[in-house]
Formats: sequence, C-alpha cells, structure tokens
Amino acid sequence: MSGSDSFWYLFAGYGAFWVLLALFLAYLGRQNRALEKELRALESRFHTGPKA
Amino acid sequence: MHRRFAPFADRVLPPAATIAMLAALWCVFVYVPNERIQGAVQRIFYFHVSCWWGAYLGFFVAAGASALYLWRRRVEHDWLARAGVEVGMLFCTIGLVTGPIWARPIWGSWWTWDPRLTMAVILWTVFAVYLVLRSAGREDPEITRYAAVLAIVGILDIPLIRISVRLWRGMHPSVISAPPGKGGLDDPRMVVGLLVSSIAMVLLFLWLLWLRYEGLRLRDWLYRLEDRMEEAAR
Amino acid sequence: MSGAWRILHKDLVLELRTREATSGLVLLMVLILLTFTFAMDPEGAAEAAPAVQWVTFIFAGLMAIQRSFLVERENGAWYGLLLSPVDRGALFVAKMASNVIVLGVAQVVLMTLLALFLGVPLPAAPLALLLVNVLGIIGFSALATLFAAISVRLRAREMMLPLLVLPLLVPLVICAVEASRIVMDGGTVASAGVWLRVLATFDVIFAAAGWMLFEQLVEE
Repeated sequence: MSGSDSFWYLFAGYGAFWVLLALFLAYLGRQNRALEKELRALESRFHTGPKA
Repeated sequence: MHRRFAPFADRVLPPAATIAMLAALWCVFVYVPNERIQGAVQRIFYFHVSCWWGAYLGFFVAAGASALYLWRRRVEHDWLARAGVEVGMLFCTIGLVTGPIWARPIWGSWWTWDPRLTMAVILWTVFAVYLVLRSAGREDPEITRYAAVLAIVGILDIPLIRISVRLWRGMHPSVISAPPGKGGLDDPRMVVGLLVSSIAMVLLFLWLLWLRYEGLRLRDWLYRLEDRMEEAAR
Repeated sequence: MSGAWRILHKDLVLELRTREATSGLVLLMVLILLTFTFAMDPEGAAEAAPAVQWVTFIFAGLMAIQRSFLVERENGAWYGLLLSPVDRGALFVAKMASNVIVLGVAQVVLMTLLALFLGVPLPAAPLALLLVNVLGIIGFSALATLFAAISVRLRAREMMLPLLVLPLLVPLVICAVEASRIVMDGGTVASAGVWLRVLATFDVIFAAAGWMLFEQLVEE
C-alpha cells in the first residue's frame, strides 16, 4: 500500500469520527427543538384554554 | 442527581472535553512519530482504541443505572441508563467504523473477526435492540422495565461472549491481551498519545452523557406537565 | 416451590392432552430443516449438521415460545397465574422448565431427522451428545422465557423476541455448535469439555438472572 493511498484512509478514519459525532450532536439538537415545539404548544394551550 | 452534578457538568465538562480533544488531536497529528511498519495510517489507532472507553463506559453505566432503576424505581436512573446506551452506541459505532478503515490498509481486508471487533458487533446489536425497544415517544412503563432488564442481561453476557468468541477464533483466553498493533508501541510518545486520546474520549463521553441526560430530564418534565394539563382539563 | 410444581404440572398435562405446542413446533423444525437441506447439497452436508441443528432449533424455538405465551395471555390464564400467590421466581422456573421439556422433545425429533437427511454418524459418546443438548436447551429457554412476555404490548411485537434474544444467544450458538461438532466427529465429554463448561456457565448465569429479574417484568 503506497504512502499517498494510506493518507486517504487516515482522512476517512478521522472524518468518520467527526461525522458520527456531528450526527449525534444534530440528533441532540433535534430532540431539543422538538421539546421546544411541544413547550410552545403547551404554552399556547395554557393561554387559550384547555379545549384548544 | 441533576442538582448535584449540574454545576460541574455545565461549567467544567465542556471546556475540559474540548481542551482534551484538541490536545489529543495535537498528539495524534503532531506529537507522535510515524509507526515504523504501518506508516501514517496507523494514527487512526489512537482514536479507534480509545473510543472503546466511551462504548463500554456507556454500556456499564446503563446496566448499573438500570439495576438501580429496577431496585428503587427512580426515573433519574432510567434517564441515566438510556443516555448511557445512546452515547455508548455512538462510540461503539465509531469503533466499528474506524476499525475497518484502519484494517483495510493494514491487513488488506475490510473486516477481521478480531475478538474485540466481534464483541463490539454483538454488543452493538444488543443495544441497538434496546434503542428499538425504546423508540416510541411515550412508552409503557412495562417497556421501561424490559429495557432495564435487557441492559443488565446484556452486560452479564459480556464475559460469556468474550470467552466463547476467543475460543471460536482459536485464541487462548488470557486475562490481558494485546489488540493488533498495540504490540508495536515502542515509542513512549505513542503511549502518551494513546493516554491523552483515552482521557479525551472519556471526557467527551461524560459531556455527551450529561447532555443527553439533561434532554431526557427535560422531556420527562414536559410529559408530566402535559399530563397535569390533561387532568386539569377534565 | 410447590406452586411452581403445580404450574409445571398443569402446563405439561395440558400439553400432553392437546399436543398443540409440540406438534406445531416439531412441524416448524422439520420445515426449517428441509429448507436448509434444499439450500445445500445434502450428500456432503454432514459437516453442516451441527450448525443446521442449532439454527433450526433457535428459530423454531423462538416462535414456539412466543406463541405459547401469546395464547396464554389471550386466554387470560396469565392473569390468573399472576393473581395467585406464587412466587415470581418460582413462576419463572416453572415456565422455563415446561419450555425445556417441550423443546427437548422437539429437539430429539429434530436430531433424528437431521441424522437421517444429512447422514450424520451415530455419536461415539451419547452422554456428551445428551449434555450438549440439555445445556443448550436450558440456556436458550432461560433467555427466551425471561423475554417472552414482551411479545404482547408492542407494535413490532412478533419481531421483538428474536431481536432481544438472538444477540444474547451468541455464546450459546458458538459453544453448542462447536461441542456438537466435536461429538459428531467422535469426541467425548472431555474433548468437548471447554465448550460444555462455558455452556454450563451460560445456563447458570441466565437461569439465575431470569429467576431474579422475572418479577420485574410481570408485575402489572
């Protein structure tokens, strides 16, 4: 395996690490936004009454 | 639990994890020398080996928290268990992806039935099922208990998986084993690199665990609020 | 403890009278075995016999245990059991034991047919063969019985039991197949010793775990 070839693998290896980490953080962000949305919905129900 | 750890977790963990990660990256790309035989690509090894800390910590925390949950029925323990599994799965996935990426240039094939990778695959499936089990938004309390049992049983299985997989691959099970490549750690700088990477992984794990735990705590709070409003409306 | 015996007795008597579970199970095993046979060249396939046996056993067994639990739940018999003052651990042992017996009977049939279809030689050490199968069936039953009740409340319920149990069964699969292979090749208890020991450990750990954890899962 030539030297330049193996650099691609090194790249891919660390790239994979950061991509997966970023995906997880995006997942956390998505959970947060869903929470926020539900909280807002809850708040509006609170203001307009239970039948809303 | 939240109140006790929040100050530390919110103020210390993020900068600590970030600094440790930067230090680890510096070590891996600047500090350590090229490995004699494998060359530059061997540098994947530092993150690949240390990520297992995150995986196993996550799973063990999950099992312990699950046991506590079954014993005391306090929801915080369930949040911790679930966070442990999710973050553990992240690191397990990282390990299973970086493993083949490292193996291909070194050993020539994408996959080897190396005992550690094999164990990682099995654990990955055990806890993937855990996540599937808990994929409903609002879950039945029965599901929560099943998940807890699964986490505990999964951890109990670990030594059995370890022994049987090693026997299966014809390896004599020994207490301490050297994963492929570790035997070539001749330069002390490499040991430092591995150490720093491992510390960085653990800190990153703790930070992500905390983030997820907080998310679950807030979600549970929201559900309880919703329930109270439902009741008030009736 | 006497409660457990009575439950076991009831299950077995019921099974003896209706033969419902056993016949379905045996038929399923035969069909899976046949599928395997047609997927291979049966002439030189004795090699594959241990693997075929245990894979067939596991898949048929999972379906049988799942089904039997669903039936009981549907009939309301399960709630009757829960209302009775039987210790939950003992209930687990009783359920596990009845599964072991039913699966054991089916396994005998499976092995006979396997020997017939794939030309497996008679074992030189029948005790070893017995041991492998007993240990394998016990370990499988422990895990499957523990998780069997899952197949009721979930959306993807039919898949849930296999999903839960299959990854955990890996050590059992490895050891049972290896030990069976050794026995098939003429080995004895001694030569298969290490595999049998791991199997036995597996059984002890998960029977104990099941006995302790079962009550967590069946409370209402």
